[in-house]
Amino acid sequence: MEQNPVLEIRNLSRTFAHGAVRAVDQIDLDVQPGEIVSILGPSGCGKTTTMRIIAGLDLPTAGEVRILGKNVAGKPPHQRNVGLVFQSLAIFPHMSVKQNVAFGLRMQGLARNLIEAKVAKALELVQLSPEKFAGRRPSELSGGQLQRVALARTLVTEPALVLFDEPMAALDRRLRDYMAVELRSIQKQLGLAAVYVTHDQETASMMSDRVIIMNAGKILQAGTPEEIYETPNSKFVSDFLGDTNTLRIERVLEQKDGKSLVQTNAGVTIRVANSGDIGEGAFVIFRPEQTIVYPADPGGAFEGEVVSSQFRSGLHRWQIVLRGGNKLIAQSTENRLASSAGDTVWVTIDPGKARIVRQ
Amino acid sequence: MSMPTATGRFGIEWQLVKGITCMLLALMLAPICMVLVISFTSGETLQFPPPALSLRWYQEVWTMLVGPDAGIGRLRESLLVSLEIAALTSLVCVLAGVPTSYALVRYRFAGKTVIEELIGLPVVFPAVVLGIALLVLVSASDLNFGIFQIVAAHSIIGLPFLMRNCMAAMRGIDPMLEEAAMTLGASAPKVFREIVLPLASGGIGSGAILVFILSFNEFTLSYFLYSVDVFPLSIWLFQQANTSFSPAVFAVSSLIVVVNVAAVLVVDAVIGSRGSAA
Ligand SMILES: Nc1ncnc2c1ncn2[C@@H]1O[C@H](COP(=O)(O)OP(=O)(O)O)[C@@H](O)[C@H]1O
Ligand SMILES: [Mg+2]
Repeated sequence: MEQNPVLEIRNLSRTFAHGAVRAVDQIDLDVQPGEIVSILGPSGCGKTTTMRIIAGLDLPTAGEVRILGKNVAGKPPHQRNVGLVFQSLAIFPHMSVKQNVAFGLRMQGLARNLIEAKVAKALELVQLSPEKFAGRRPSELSGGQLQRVALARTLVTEPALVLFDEPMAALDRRLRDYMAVELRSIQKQLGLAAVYVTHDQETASMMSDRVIIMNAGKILQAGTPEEIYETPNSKFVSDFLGDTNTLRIERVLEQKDGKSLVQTNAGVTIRVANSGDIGEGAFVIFRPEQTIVYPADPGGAFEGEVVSSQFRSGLHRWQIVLRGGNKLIAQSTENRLASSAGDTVWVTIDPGKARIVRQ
Repeated sequence: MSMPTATGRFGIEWQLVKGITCMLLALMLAPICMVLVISFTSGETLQFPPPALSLRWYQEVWTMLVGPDAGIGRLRESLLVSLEIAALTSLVCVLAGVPTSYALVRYRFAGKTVIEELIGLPVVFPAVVLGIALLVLVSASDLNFGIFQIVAAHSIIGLPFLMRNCMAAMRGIDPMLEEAAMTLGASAPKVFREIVLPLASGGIGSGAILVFILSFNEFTLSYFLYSVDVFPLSIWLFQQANTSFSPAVFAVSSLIVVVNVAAVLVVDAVIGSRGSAA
């Protein structure tokens, strides 16, 4: 049986200041049952506004939100069955951990012993031992523990859809990664449908089945984390997902079988893995690990000078300035260059990976 | 206030500031201290300093309050009426002021600034004028409102004090707490009861106590609106002072001062422990 998507967003827009600020600009988004979709984008791109509209805390200026196939226009937040874990966590300061987690169940009017049982289970799910933590005040908890309380408080109400608005932004890197893995396993375990908002691409990749890249209120690209990383459709998306090398295209020499041969401003022609009408001001983009660095000219390579080199987490990286002034970053797991700063090197680009994108 | 500098602390300006402050405090406290001291006199008159100290006037007040003849002097009756008026005034101000404060803090609506101005008005409005106006109103209506005409008058001047405290507390509540409650299934009234009221309780409580004191001490409006049946303590004191002037009046006054100070201490404790919790 074909199931309805849990969430369908159609042509959603939200403007502020009488139309002067387009916080959300005609976006479409589907979330299937059991799927977690990340919205990834820089601060101010409209992520929180989108979440608030889905939860019913804000109203769209245009477009439609459907939850489990039903249009929820006009439905107040408490009737939507959508959970929202806030960026600020919004733990109730006047309630104990147990009272916080029990809040939603109490609002549902459940019997007291049922609430007790569900709260204990929810606390165990997020690995807070009920004996130890149930009676604590929020002021007695660490950031990571507050995070778990917020999670338990939302999950215990068994919402049809859970929205996460950068709930781990305040945690340090290691704890965030740990929580991301844990949250992912809880989500799989419960078969939750969720939207996870973040501006951190590593968390997004770790967390999600699909990623949506947003900028200035618009969706730029949607796909699996691998797809978007491997085949970004713009310089912005590529930049956002990690270090990107960029060369300006001067002329397209040839386009055949979905591949292209282009003349770049670095003076060398490059084969790239895609084609298309790219117009004026297009770029070739490729990642540092998609280059090979040679101490001697292998033929058809860029000639340049090493500016600096580092070794970090098992990776060698070189900052190189090409003849003509373009800068690029090369990366390899092996130390291909005994030499370092000041030496002349040659760089080739993996023709199966480099892509042309519009401005 | 900035810290005094090393030279400033010992300089002439600092000495001057200290001197003036002490003088003002003395000016303010001297009459009250005098009342307190005289209330402990052993004599029959208001002689200062008292010939000797005793508790006889407090004993006298006690008899006036609970003795067999308590009905005659009307002290007990006045005290009870004043307590009743103060309690009702606090209640009216809480019932009217808490929802209004919430609306003013959270929502934008037509006429919001007008309401904000109106609420502040009684603070600067001369009580005498308000008293006359209300008296005219009450007389014109030809009805007997009993205790409620004073309660209404006190509520008008008490409301700004309650709302100022209440709004300060509500401004300190993160709106996201309310939104979180909504997404967890709480309707608007439940959000108000479960989140807003508990988190603003410090402000509401301290505001209510302030209004209670204000009403209990209030004289001007009460003077215009009291009747034979509704005879508040402030009016009783005024009449006693005009007629008998026994040290017992000073003992009653001293007790009122103690009640006031105690209430202020309670407010301080409430604000200190809960007002900033949000
Ligand atoms: N209530 C509001 N009034 C005016 N502008 C707003 C309001 N809320 C958000 N915006 C604007 O909308 C844009 C998107 O904001 P937001 O959704 O919070 O971004 P993000 O969560 O991606 O950082 C920003 O430019 C922000 O300034
Ligand atoms: Mg945000």
